[in-house]
Amino acid sequence: MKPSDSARRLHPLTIVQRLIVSTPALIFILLPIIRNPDSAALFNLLFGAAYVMVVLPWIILYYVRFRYWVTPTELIIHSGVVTRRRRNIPVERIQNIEIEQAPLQRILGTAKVAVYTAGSASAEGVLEYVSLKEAREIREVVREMQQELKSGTVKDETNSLSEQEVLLDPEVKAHAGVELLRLSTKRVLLAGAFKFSLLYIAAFFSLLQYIEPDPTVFFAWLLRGPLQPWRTTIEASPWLAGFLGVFLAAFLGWLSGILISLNRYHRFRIELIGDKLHRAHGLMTLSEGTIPLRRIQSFIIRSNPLMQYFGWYRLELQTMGINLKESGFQVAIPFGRMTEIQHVLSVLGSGDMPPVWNPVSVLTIRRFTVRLSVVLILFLSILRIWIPPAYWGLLLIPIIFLFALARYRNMGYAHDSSTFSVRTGVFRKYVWLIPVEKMQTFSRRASLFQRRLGLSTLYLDTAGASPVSLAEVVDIPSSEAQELLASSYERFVSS
Amino acid sequence: MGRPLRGRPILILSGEYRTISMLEDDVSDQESEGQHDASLTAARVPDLNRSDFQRASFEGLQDLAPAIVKVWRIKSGLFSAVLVIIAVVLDILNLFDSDKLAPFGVIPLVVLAIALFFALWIPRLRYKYWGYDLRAQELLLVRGILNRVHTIIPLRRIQHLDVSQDIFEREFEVGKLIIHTAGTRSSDVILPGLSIDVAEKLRDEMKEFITDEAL
Repeated sequence: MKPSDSARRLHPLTIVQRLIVSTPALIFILLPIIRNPDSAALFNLLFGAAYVMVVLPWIILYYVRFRYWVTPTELIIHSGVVTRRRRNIPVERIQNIEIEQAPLQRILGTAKVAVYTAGSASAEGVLEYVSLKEAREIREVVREMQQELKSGTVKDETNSLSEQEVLLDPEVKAHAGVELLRLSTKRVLLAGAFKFSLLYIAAFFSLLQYIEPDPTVFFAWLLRGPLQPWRTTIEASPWLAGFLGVFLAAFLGWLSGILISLNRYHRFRIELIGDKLHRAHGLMTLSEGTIPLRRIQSFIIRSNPLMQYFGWYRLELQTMGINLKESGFQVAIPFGRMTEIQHVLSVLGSGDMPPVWNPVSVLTIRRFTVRLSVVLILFLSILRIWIPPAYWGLLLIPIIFLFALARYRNMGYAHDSSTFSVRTGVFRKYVWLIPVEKMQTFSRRASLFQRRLGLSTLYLDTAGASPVSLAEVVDIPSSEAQELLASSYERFVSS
Repeated sequence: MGRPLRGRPILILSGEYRTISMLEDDVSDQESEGQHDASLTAARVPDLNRSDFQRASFEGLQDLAPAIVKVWRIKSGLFSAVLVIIAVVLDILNLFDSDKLAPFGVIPLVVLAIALFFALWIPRLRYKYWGYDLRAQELLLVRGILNRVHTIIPLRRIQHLDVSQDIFEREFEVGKLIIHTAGTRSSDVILPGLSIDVAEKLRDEMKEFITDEAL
């Protein structure tokens, strides 16, 4: 393929794919009729007909009207059925071309091409769908044209295509990199076994309501014949039925966690090529991406009590895109031993896990217990208006105290010349390793109550940090916080 | 309130105190500004005074422009007015209620008294508990009535700077300086209540430090 002025079209199979994708909605609209052919659900019938009459011509017109050009200087996309859009993307502005293949596209041999520029977080231009061959050619042509443009100008690394290197890239495989980690299928399944997901179960059961035959009928069918006595026992005892229901939901949740893990992390592989991390994984949807090392803002090691008991951890990289708003957490190791994580950390040039953690002030136990108890008491005193025995809820206060104790035990900080580390969390355990040179702002906070107790909260902000789980050191003595703030800032200045 | 602005040091750069009268000279002297700033920047030496970052008081920090108290009072006054109107409307609606909490007019008066108290008092406190200082390499902010926050913003972390004025601020010739960094919580740090000349001056001082590699 050469850059030319001739117009190109999407792959004809686009029509088929769009039709397949739009059928579930139609089935959903016509569900009452499908379930009960005798019913005269006139509204659904009319709505379904309207849907077909709009969607079908739209799919065909979209294909007919869609044109794109790959000219020597720009990528031009003309699209739209009612509102026509003509978009010109200059080649030198293209940062990244992503090729994505969902399962259906893998069957049909097509792919989605998304063109990203530095200006926006979402794709600037999308070609849905072209053949995989064409997709790769487009990427190759754009890259060549960029090379030509660049050869005349100053070499600018940040402007190159390889910013977030691309899916299914044969070139990436050709490069010899240092393999950091490869997850075996056994490990992926084990990772899933630790990931309990009730959310999918809830979605599954809410869908079940629409499906004929009724699930209770299904269970009745399942427990027929020799299992019939079991069924009568279960039906006779509501406690047993309830217990079995909860057990079944838990089991399905556990199973779906395993399946999700398998789908996401199948053949997970991460390797270091030059100054970029290449990562490939996925069962249904393959994805292959690159994280430039200098985009990494901090290192997060996550775990939960169960995982920690068996010695398993997860390593995430907090990254920052070209666009400041485009931040994210990239999983570097979905499930690994601490030694593996430490190996990767050392390769990536991070500080080590601190051997000793400095505790925060013991007063934090009291503060947390009091704060939560006050909230609980307020809540219960309002609840009492409707439910008089609500004061039994006061029994939760010892539990709050125990939680506060566990929270105190799990909180800590450590620092050396290159890294500031923070550890928090009881059920979701976090360890942040923040490189000194990546720190953004330095702040110390003290509420009225904290000031009365001589405590402060220290927070070192980094780019792309999650606004929900903060790497805060809560309730350290104010003098210690002042000292830490000053010494961290001094290290930052000299870095 | 009412501390005189004129003659007070507003910026401390490389150890020398610059007063508002010097600043006015800079502002009037627009043509040579670029040159002037460049020489200032070159003269800056990183001098870390450790006690500055350990500070617990507002001593030695710059105050906001006193006019901001009026602006805040007007704004909170407007907000209180809305509350009082709501109270009056509710009172009128319940005029013929048999079991009223208080005789007609009492509740709106109480709301008015509380609202006036807060509208007059809180802005004063906010002004008192706000301090900032631009140093050679960083901007220090200390603020908060109940929740006291001390922030160090390294100047080389600044992504971009905005000076903004709303309609009330424009009337009193004050403005706020918004400092954007790549951080999450500190993605926009607001320094309110600067006299507009000072805000623009600060912006021009600080924008010298905006680099490409702010990450």
